[in-house]
Amino acid sequence: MSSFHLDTALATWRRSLSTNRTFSNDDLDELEQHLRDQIAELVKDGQSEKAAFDQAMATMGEYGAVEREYEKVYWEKLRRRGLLQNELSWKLLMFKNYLRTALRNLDRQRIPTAINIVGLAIGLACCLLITRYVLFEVSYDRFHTQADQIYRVVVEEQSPEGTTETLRGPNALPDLLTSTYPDVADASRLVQLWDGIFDAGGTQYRETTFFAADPSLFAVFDLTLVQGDAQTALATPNSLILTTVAATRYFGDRDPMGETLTFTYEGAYEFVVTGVMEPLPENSHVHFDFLTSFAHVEEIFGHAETQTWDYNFATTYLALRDDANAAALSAQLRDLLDQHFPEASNAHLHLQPLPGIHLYSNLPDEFETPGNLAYLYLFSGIGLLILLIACINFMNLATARSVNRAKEVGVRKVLGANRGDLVYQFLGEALLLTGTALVLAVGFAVLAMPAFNALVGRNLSLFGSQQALFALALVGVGLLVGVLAGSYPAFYLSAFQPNRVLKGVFGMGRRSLLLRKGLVVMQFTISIVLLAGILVMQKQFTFMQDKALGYEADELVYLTTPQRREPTNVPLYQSTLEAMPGVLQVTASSGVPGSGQPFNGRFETHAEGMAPDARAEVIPVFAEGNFAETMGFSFVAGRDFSLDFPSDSTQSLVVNEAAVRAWGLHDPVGKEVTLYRNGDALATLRIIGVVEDFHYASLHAPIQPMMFLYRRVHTRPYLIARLSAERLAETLAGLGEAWPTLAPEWPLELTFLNDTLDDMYVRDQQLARLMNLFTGLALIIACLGLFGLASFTAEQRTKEVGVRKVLGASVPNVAMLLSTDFLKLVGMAFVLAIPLAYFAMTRWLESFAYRVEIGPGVFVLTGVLALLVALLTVGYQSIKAALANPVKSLRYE
Amino acid sequence: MISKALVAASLKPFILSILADGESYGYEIIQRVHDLTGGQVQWTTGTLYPLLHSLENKNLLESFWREADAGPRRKYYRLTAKGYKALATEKQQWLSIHEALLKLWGPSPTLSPA
Repeated sequence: MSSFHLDTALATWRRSLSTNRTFSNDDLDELEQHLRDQIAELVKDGQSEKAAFDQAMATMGEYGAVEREYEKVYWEKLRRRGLLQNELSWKLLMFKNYLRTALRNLDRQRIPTAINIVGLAIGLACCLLITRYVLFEVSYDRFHTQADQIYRVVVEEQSPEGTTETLRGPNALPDLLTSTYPDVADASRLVQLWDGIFDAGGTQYRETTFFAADPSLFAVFDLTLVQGDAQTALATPNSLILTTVAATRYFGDRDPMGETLTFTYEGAYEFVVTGVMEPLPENSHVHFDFLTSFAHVEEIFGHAETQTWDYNFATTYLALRDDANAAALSAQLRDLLDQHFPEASNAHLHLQPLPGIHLYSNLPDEFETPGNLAYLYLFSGIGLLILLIACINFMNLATARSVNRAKEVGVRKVLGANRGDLVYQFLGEALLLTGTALVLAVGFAVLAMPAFNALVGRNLSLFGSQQALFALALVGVGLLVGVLAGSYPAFYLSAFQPNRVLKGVFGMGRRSLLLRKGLVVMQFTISIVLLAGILVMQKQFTFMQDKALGYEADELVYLTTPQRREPTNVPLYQSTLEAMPGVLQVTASSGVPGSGQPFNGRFETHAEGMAPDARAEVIPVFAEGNFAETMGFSFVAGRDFSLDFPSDSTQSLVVNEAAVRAWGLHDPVGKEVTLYRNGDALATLRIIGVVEDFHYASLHAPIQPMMFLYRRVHTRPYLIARLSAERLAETLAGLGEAWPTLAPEWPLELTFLNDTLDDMYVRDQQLARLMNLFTGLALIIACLGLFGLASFTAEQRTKEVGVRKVLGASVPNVAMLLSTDFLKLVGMAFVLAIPLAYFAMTRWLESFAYRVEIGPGVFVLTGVLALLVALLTVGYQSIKAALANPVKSLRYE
Repeated sequence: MISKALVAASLKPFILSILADGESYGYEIIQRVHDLTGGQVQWTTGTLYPLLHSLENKNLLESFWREADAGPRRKYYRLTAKGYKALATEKQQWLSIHEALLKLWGPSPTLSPA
């Protein structure tokens, strides 16, 4: 007969609901009686008990819907009866249970937990540092209240060779702009004045941040005057505003207002302190300690003269009215110059928004080195990748360890937990770990901040400015990482079928295994790309260090002499220095490799044999006759300047090979070259010698055509001395002693050429060091994960290893067996990483005019290194497992 | 069959009206409604009881278990004073809608197009 028993069926039905707290016993009694009544009636009508039961269940309504209805009433009841507290305390109890379970689990698996937390903390710490850096870089000039209304005027000059942009515009611009365009609320000029010495009653310092501006600068910028009045502080030519820092330097605690400071450069000028201001914040694109009125500049050069096109040196800043349309104004401005300056037919103006200057503007005459947008993207990307690697560790270890949690999931489910509860539980655990890692990360970041600051050349503090935003970012990142890293394990674990896991039928899902392997490959792909990257960088830097520059830079020092409009006593310096023991040779020139243009602009030149209208741009260097010899240039043709030929100083040229190529000369020596400036022929000179190409600028830039003119140097002359390598310290001391007698008002500025050359690569070196750091960290985190997985696998396969050993497998056999799986993954990552690294590094190398070939060697080295690191990581666990005594592992069978 | 929305809306007045006739229990209420409407209105068990509990929460009903002499224990519901008031309100609302609709449908057969 039928095996259906009504009482059993009802009891089963009742049990299925009894785990749900929204159904009280009372409710179930009531529902059960209802079902019994209904079934009795149906049976009376002639149905079987089973059919009647099924029909009664059907009229109950959809399973989920009934629960929901009861739940609604349940909460209503709680609210009404003031039992909400009970419910919450029940939740708290559950939370306590979750927390206890989590802590027990973490404690039981200390190594994976430590790997997770430390890995995440390192990744998060990287992110924190990088976030700080990025936030700082994008905050430049935002401190001005009307930052979005402020613009800088850029002058672009068009020539057949292309467009050059400069910040030095006509001094008449502010007046012109405010009177022509009603949208311009205020405009001010700003110009950096000479380096020189300030003297306040005997307290002397050499200062390099002396600027001049119009009083209206106060209307454009947010400058905080501690003392003095913005209306009058820059009213007279001899007024001077100091920063609080400078004021303390010169006056200590004394009140600086009204005090006199003497400034010496070409002459002595007296200034009276009319204001004291707060120094501009670090995230300003310009900084000055001393600010005088632009009237001072006009007084020196004469007002009428400074209005002419030849006196373009001031940078103009504008503040627009709130409702102004900057784009439209910028378009209108374009042809303003043409109408007012006859020389400016090829010059146009455009506006540059102030907050964009730091990251988007890189003009040759910026006041300070601008930021690097590409680095910003690069660092952000790397930070995210490192975090990703750490998240992958978390996911992999959690899913790998899931076997241990499977039974717990089974028991919880049997006791009435639904999937949602479990997802929350595991997500909560992930957040707990992330939270701990975050606290640790803040600690790491605080500790690493000084080193990081040194690397990026900034002065950041973790909890400095923008605290609210940063704290928000911190919590946001924590939550994001917790959810990101925790959601996969949470959904994976909570999907276990209780009947299967509790019976012990627990197949490691093939899919999850595949995913885990895929994630490991991803981690190592990222790490290997970074590794290949730093190796290529290393190769390029070695190449640059070894590259023959075309001169002998060792033991070459140069001295900066006072800048004067009158010819200086350079020959006197020269002969004094030459007389010193230990000084081999002394020369003077308008430029030194690595220190910028040797002359303001280029000459247009025309060489014999070129088409009559053809011109080639060549950079002139004005130098003493022995310049080439002192520098150690080697001649490929002709001769150096010589005192034996008196005409050399007026009629001869020594040029480099690039210049010969530019002129298209085959037999250059003896050929005539005519120099032009603004279309007028200046002189015709004869080539007497050709030097081998040498690197005047950095290896980023191709070698430019250059020519040496044997002339007295009038502006910015450098004295270049080749010293004897022996007794170098003595010679340097001697130079220091002799200097005050030569230029009493000018401090000795002596630089080794090698240092200057290194300075050209400061940014490259900075990038290299940061990349080394990040790559190291990425590798460490990836290896931590691999270590965790390897130890887990070794543990899982303990019995297998035992059996294999009993059957005669050797230790190396077993160790190899356990390692190969992982090494295969690293190998796969390597294959994926090569094209990525090749692409990225080719792009990077393109920024160098002189660069290495990437070549297969780098990749071989990368592969070997990656495999070695992986082998070391996995090997320890594998050998440990292989060495284990099989008796121990098999005893409990 | 009557639409789901209308059935849902009529739940409360039905329950209040049936209980106004005297105390009753869930199954009986469903049966009464079934008989009254000639099977046109079918309630699912899963919606009736939560509503009864909800009305009880709002103090419109009160419930008690009654041991029958010759039968099982059943949970009975009866109206409270507040429940009677609520019924009056419900009645008024349903009637005003009813009357309004009647006026529209009225004696003239406007329902069918001429």
